[in-house]
Amino acid sequence: MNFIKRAGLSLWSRKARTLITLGTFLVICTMVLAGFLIGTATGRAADSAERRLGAAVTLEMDLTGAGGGMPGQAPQIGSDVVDRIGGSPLVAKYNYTYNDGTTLLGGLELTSSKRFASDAPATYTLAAGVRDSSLLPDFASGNWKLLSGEHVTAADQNHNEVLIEERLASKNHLKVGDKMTLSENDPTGKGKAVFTVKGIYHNPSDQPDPDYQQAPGDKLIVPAGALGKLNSGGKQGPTPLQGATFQLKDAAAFDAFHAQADRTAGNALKGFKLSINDKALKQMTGPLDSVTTSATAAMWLIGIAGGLVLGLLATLAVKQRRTEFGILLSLGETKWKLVAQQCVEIVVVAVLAIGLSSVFAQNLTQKAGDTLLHDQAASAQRKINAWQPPPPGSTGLEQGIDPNSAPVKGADPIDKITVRLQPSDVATVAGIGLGIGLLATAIPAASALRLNPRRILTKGK
Amino acid sequence: MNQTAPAITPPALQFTDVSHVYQNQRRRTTVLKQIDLAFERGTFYTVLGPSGSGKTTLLSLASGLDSPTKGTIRFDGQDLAELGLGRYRNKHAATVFQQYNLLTYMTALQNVITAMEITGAKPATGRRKAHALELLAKVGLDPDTADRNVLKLSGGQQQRVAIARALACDVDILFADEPTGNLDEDTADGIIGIFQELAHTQNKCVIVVTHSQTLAARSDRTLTLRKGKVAVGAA
Repeated sequence: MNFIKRAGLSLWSRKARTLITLGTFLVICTMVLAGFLIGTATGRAADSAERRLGAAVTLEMDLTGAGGGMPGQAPQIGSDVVDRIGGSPLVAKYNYTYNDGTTLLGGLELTSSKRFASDAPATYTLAAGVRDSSLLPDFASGNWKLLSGEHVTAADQNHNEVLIEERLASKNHLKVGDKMTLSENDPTGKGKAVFTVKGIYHNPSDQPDPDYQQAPGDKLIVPAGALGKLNSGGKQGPTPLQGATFQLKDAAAFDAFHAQADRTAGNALKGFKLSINDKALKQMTGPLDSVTTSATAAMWLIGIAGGLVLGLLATLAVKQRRTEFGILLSLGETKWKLVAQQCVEIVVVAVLAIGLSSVFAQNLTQKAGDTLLHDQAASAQRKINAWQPPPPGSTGLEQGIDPNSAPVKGADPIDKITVRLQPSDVATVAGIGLGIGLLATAIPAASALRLNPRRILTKGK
Repeated sequence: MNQTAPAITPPALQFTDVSHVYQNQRRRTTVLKQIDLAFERGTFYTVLGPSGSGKTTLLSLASGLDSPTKGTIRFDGQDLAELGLGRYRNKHAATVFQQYNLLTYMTALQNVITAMEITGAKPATGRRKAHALELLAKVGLDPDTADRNVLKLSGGQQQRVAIARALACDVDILFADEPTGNLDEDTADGIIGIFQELAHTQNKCVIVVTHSQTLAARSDRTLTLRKGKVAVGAA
């Protein structure tokens, strides 16, 4: 083991070179470790956001595929089929919305005097038939708040219950438990039913709905089953739906869920497609992706550049140490021990550098990560805030606005990460650092040792 | 009844038809030409000859630092190529270089101990420092000098460290290239005495390349090289 002792003596007596190598290694290890730490921190933040948001899978009409249903008609899927798909163990929760018109009867008034259509009654408005009102995006994001009463749930599907906005409740002096009569969607039809106010909610917007131009105070929320029954002449049965949303427990299970849904629904899915909607997740994690990309690029750049510098230093050192190699070989030292001595020297320096870098890499990376992420998140937030919906009555095409690019509410870009130094990160960086160091040392050392001691000692003359 | 012939002890080192050629891109230089030589144990040899006569090349080949282009060199009857030059240098031969060739990041003492560690020479690990100090004292270096980095020593002191290092290897054959060139007369005399003692009392083979007639005069046998051939000598 005398080569280890020689390595120690060499490092100690060549302090300047040892310090230069240590400094180079320190920069490499710190940058590579920072890259890993940012990568793992952003990964954790993205995982956390994914767990919080889940993964929303949308069942909607397939506008590109062969349509189902009757020619000229939008395809429909029964709520019973959606319930079967939603019963999958892969699904955390699911919801569907079925919009239909209805007229408020019994002297009730809408909050807006603007009519839906010129030939429609003054109290004709839209009701949203839902499976679970708490899962509506506006409620889930906290934009809308339930002021009193309870949400419409899956258990209420056959109950005539309704959630009303506080402005409608105020105008008609309605409170939870009061009754209100609603008619079927055809204003000339005779179908009607009495609904009980189950809850009163608050919508902070005073802008009409961009799709239907419905005043925000006039939106009714009822169980989809009850609305379907009202519009089918009182017949009980599956509600025909045009789509649904499933919240998966794990986004990675989408393919399995898709296959399961195909098996469960069979032909009923014809004309529909299932697509995973990660818009909210992307909105939240966009800045993380940018930071990770930058950090990874910087990590590799510094790693490669540092490796080249180390290689150069090692090559120069080996060149300067040819005589030493020749002397040791002339004493009968084996070549592998000479290479091993070089390797021990670089390993000692690498271990020191890795140890030092792991002492302050966490704080350094936290600061660097916060700064990088803050800038990215602020930029993304500015973009979100600047987004304007198309003006009422416009599709947005003329203004160059894509309504589908609307930001998702309650999914603010993540602007903080928590950097945690894990032993696995240190181990990975140690592996990379040692790999670079050993490669940068062993290759020139082995190359010099191809010569016999006489040629080394006489510099090949 | 079988009669066993008396065993013939082979020479410590034997050159048979050894030639050596240096080849570079432009020319090919034959430095040694069909040399036949034998070196015995218990003998102190000097090799003389003008510059370029092949003395250093002979020393390089004999000490196992290089292999001959042609011919064989045997140690105790075994071809060095078969024995392995590394093993030969490690266990049987030690060299004192003209340029000292000390490990410059070590003290004089560490240089000597390192040689013992590499060759595995006696004594055992615990007594190596004391033995190294004895050897350094033998060549005239006190413990204070022994603890100094070799770069802080004079040329003569470095030469003595190189000799102590070679002695520390405790090998069968000791080679030296102008070992007294940088030494004052008294020290040189002492070193020659050590070589004689090694050959005569420890039965080693000592081969010294030199220009010094004084040194040659005190050796047991002298051979002279001229233009790559042995001009005068005993083998």
